[in-house]
Amino acid sequence: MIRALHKFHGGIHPADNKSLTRSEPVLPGPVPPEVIISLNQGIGAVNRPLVSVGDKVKKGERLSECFHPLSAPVHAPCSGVVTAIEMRPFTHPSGMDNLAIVIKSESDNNADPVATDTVDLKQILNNLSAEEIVTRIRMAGVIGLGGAGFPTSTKIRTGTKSSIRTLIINGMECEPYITCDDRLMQESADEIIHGIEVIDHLLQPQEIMVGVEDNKPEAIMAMKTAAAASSASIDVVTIPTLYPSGGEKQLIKILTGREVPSGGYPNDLSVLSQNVATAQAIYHAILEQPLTHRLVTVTGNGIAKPGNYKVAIGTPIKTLLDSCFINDEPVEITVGGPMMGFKLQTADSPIIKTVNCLIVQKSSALPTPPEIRNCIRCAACSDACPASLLPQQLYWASQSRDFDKTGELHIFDCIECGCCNHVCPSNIPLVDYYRHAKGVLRTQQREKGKSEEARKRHEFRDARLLREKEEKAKKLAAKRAALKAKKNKDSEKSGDDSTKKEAIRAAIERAKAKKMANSASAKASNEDGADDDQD
Amino acid sequence: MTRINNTTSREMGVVILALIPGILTLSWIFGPGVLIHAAITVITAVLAESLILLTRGRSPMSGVSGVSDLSAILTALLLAAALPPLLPWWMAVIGTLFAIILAKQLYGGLGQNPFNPAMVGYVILLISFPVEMTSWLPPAGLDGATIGASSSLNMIFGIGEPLPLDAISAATPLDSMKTNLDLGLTIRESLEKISVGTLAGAGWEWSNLAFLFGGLILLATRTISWHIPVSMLLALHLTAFTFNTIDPDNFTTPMYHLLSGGTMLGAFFIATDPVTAATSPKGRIWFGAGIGVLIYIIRTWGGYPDAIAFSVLLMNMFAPMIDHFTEPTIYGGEKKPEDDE
Repeated sequence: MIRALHKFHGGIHPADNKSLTRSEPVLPGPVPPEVIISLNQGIGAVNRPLVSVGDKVKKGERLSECFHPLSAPVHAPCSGVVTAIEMRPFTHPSGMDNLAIVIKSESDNNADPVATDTVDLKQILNNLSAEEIVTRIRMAGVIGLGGAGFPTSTKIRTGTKSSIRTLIINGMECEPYITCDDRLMQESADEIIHGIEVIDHLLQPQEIMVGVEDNKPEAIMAMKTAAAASSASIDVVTIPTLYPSGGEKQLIKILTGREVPSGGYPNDLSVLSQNVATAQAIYHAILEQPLTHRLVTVTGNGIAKPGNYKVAIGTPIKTLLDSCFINDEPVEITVGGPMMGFKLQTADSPIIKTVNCLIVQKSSALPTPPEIRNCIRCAACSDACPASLLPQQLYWASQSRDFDKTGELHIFDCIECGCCNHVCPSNIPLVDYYRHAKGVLRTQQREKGKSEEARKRHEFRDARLLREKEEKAKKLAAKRAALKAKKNKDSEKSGDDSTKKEAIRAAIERAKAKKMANSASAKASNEDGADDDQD
Repeated sequence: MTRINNTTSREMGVVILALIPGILTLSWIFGPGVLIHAAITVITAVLAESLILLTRGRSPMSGVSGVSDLSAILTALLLAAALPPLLPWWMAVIGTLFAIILAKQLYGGLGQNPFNPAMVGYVILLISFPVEMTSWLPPAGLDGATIGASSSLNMIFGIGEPLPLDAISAATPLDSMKTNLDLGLTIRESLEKISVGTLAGAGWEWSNLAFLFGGLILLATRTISWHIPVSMLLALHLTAFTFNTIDPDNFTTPMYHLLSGGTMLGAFFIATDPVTAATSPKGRIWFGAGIGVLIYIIRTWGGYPDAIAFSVLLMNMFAPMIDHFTEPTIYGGEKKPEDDE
């Protein structure tokens, strides 16, 4: 079936550099002597560890629990002993530390247990409730492996609620250099398809499409063959290569012709999208195999053995690179693709679930950073922008620190794909400006939210105090009125109060007499103290 | 981070190269004065830009803000292409100084200027020295009566016995046509009086075609986008066509407008200056169309025979407003209008 494809605005054709690794079959990664399992694999709150130092853990054992919907538990990729739970370098642009469980691995020669061809997925799914399936996905620690790291169970759960019409599986891999999804589709197409069947079983979408860029013909063939064998009707769609077609919003536009509303989510269009590697992880999750390994493309001219590796999550990047024979000369390591990736601060940080590529480039072979010139408003950036923004206006606004203006220019619709950087003839690092502006705006919004909340609290407190005061006054008035009423009633009851008055008068007189007697006796006490007791 | 191999100076270089056919044609038709002026303006521009950069504490030779971005040279060449061939040298110098210092560097240099520097320089000269600035030569290259290099030099620098300027200079066809129309002549009567070529004013048609050729190079190399030249030429053509159809006696043909004066130079080289033009695709179309209509209005009813400079400068003023009103709809922007609140 030929599907009508739609176009998104802009896009570029960067040199793809995939030939370094595209024909390298997936090899097992190194067996690290020590793994560092960060308790936060991307977004969401830091997990609470379930193990303590000294514990022995088994391969695949769950190491943490979490209650935040944006985080997912982590698992031991190998058997071993927990040697530390401490702050370790985290694979993040800032190079910050993060709480991690460190495991000293022990050699175990257990092969992966389940032989997949004996599994009857249909039967497993039929025996489980929807909630149980989602729980298995959550407990296996599956998150979006395409880069965003959004927990898959949370994404599917929002889907179950709002009825998904279209399921899109993203096998685009549009960034240069990266080939691990390509290899995955070639080598494990059936597992990806099984993962799709799981989502199909849960959400019952009307159509399922797998988008693959036309620079991966072998992967398209493999996926088509596997899809044909599936009971679900899955359409593998070949899409012309154009960066960033693999962006979620761009792919949705290409396949459905519709646009995710600004500030909204794909399920606003009844669309759910998943990466191919995530689909495979979902399948494994149903077989109760947690996400402990992922494919990583290790490439670049600083590596003697570029390739695609199945790497244990938690493997220190240094260990992985050593196993690929990293050159001795100084290198620069990029995590992710060259367009959206970031420069690695330290190779001591581990592979986390969202790392799909390491580009190792000899520092000597890197081109000298081009000189930044003035913006000449040539608008090459707006012609290239896949979000149809005005990058040069955003640049002018953020450069002059007019961050409100950047908000008006829709800066939060920027997907940071780097197309504008790529085409800028003045070599301005535009995306850096946008990231900064976004950071400032987020802080401002947070501060504004806080002060707004404080103001509300203050007003509420004032109102409460006023109310209490009024209530108190009312109560007091009521009480007074009641007392008065009672008094009146009492006096009415007693008829005339002459007896009372007389009694009072008598009492007063008695007191007066006593006082006089006292003062007299005080005088007398100078002579005779014994008089005191007279009364 | 990957980048395409393209730089601001390379783009400027391409524009300069694409200007060469037009400038050579001008000098073939109107004598070597054009080339002499190109030399004067380029030298002045480079010196002026270096001087200002030094006073701003920047190195003129640095790659970042220096003259190596070639923008000053481009401004100088555009101005030279617009100057009458025998204009005294000091006027060319003044025009260049105003263009580089007042119109560009005082605003902060490349990328910061709201007005097209070359056109600012041109307009200042046109207003200050109207006689000299409208004294063009007859298209000598065509009938063989060329003014040689030495007499051009003499005229421009005022050395030795100057030729009587009044005797050898002539108004441009656009200028003569305007005067004749003002005198009550019809287009046909007027065309009999002034030297015309095959398509438009004699000589001018060839220089316009040469600039068109350079412009096509710019389009082919994607140095400029089609929006501004196409919309500008189309708007000029349509306006001229409308009036010419209504009253052919008093309004010249569209072809005459397209191939006279500085139309092609303006459409492909001047209006397309990215710094001072509108930036969004829709905005560029409005910007170009505005220039086209203004050229027609000023040429037909204004006080000056040609109108590229005034039209471009007027539209420069509107560029930010055009950009504001032609902001493209962002991805996912249509479906949720409440976002604008």
